[in-house]
Amino acid sequence: MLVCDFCSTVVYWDDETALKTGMQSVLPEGDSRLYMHATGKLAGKPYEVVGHLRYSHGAGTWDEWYLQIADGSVAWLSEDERELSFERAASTGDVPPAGDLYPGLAIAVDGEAYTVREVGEALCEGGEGQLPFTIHPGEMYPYADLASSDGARFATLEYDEDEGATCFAGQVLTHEQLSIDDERPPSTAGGHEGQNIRCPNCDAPLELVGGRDVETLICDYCGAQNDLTGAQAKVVGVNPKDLDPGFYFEIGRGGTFDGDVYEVCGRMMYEDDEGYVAREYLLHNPDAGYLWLAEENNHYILNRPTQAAPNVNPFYLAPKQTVKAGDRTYKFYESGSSRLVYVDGALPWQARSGDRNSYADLVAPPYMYQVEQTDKEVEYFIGEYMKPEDVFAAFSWDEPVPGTYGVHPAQPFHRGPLARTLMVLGAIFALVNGLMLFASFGSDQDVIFNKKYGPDAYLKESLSEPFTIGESNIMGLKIAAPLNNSWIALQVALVDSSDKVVQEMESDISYYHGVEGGESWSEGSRSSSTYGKSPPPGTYRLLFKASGGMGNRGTRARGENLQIALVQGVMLSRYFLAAFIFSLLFPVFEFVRKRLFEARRWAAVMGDDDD
Amino acid sequence: MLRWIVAIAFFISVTGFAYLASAQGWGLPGLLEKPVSIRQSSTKAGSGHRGPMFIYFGSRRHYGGGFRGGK
Repeated sequence: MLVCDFCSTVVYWDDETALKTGMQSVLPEGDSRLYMHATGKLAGKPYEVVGHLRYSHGAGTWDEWYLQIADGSVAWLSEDERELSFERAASTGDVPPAGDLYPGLAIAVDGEAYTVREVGEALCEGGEGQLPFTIHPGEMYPYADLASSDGARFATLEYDEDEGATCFAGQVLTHEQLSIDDERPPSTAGGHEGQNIRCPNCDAPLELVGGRDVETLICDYCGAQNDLTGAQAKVVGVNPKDLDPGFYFEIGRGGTFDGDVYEVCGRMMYEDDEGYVAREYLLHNPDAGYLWLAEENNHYILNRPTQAAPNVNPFYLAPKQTVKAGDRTYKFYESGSSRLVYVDGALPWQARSGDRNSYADLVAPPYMYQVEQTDKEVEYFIGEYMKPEDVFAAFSWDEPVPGTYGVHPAQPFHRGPLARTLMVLGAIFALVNGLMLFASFGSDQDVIFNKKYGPDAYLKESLSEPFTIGESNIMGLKIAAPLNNSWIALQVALVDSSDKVVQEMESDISYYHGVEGGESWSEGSRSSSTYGKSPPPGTYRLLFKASGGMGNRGTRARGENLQIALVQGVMLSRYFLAAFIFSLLFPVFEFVRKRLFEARRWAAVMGDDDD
Repeated sequence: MLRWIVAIAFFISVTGFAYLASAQGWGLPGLLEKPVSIRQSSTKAGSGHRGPMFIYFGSRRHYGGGFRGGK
């Protein structure tokens, strides 16, 4: 089939002749990267655009481009909101009928798993150039757009009453995969540009900025939401009067994101079922396309549409349940429905106050995966958290940046460089001191005195045999006795060779046990260690005296044998313990701080459960 | 880099202090400033009971119950 470039006459060939079938309306220019007779390279091969179809799905249009490749082959490219996809015919297999499809449904086509992204009725608005089949402008057919869970593949199912379902499968093309020799002439951009449009509600002139498709244009004066998809602008809604939507950035304001300058071309305010309000800016760059900047409680998320569908239905999950979408694993945060309360600017889709959609939010801070679904389509967005100061700086905002409220679901936990340093080093040195603490318990100790005494000896002041003390800083006194509901308190004195006491030490032990309520219990210990400074090397004796009892005041010592020992070569453990605890404070503090932050993040959807 | 150097020096100081204190026995009871004859009474001793042989500990008493074990 061929549409004459000059008179728009549709001509198609059968086997014998060329037939003239009638006149076709000229397709209005759209916001597309490709155009008729454009040339460039597709995957490195030269091409020329020789045919063009445009379809409408009710809330917007998309284009199909027919390319003649230099090697003699042909290719179909689909373009929607300046996103180009490469398509090829594929086997449908046993796909469900059109009436059984709904957005979010997982189905298999040609052995590949897909999720239904959009269902609807496509209207063929017309075509131009050469086409390999006959088109019937005005004809409608059911269709379904599908996407694989990783977003790398997509497919379109088209249903025909006579021929059943046909399938085209393909993948999204990056700007690098498809190059265009000459950028589209600016004069051909913007389907409504140049028209003298007046608001049907208040008759005020409506300014239409060129360079992109606009389907909804909101009147600056009366807030009427005008549908531009028809021949005449039609009011489909009006913004509520006396509502301050609370936007910071005005329509037309420029902001730099990822190195490209975007312009605020639309602003939306949504309200969910619980009354929470979220604002969204639609940003446009003629080359890079659209970005969505969402704001909630002064937290910002910069969203981009993605083909990546989740591997499970995200609307029926519990908080923190994991979902894989694309190359990232997210945690389900919440789902619900929201209503468009306010909109202004110029949008490339149809919008009106009261529009509702279901949403599901999944988070992997600083990223956020959002699913927006209506009864006709499901859309996926990948967002990244932006600090408010970065957003305001992008818009060259000179005023003080307003503060945030609460913790955003996708807000990353911020740990400063000093805190990070102290946390890492604190953990390392806690380990070091922990090992030294452990080693100090098992340090080699020289026993310089060790003897067992009966009560006859220790209940009065007694003097031991001489023993030798070597060079050491610390001396330990260790006592032990087979106590049985009793206690012993020992006083010792180190006596040098001139019968002078140079060091005094004390130690006591107590051990009680019993059975109460059928359960046995015990407390205390039958041994003890006490430490003190070691005297100079030399020969010493031990003067000692103990007292004892059986727990109750006034009782006499039970008279257990008492083991008394002196050791040297001791490493104290208490200082390593203190250094271990001190070092551990930093990572523990950071751990607790992060836990509290995460608890705040999830509090809105998990109540008191901060796990 | 300077932040790391300062922080490492800080933690090394803490660990070094712990090592020195552990090895030197900082904070432990020291020796008597003036050695006392075992025929005399300890400076901590009270009056009253005298032992049969020495008088050093005198009437110092301990009442059991708790324990002061551990390092």
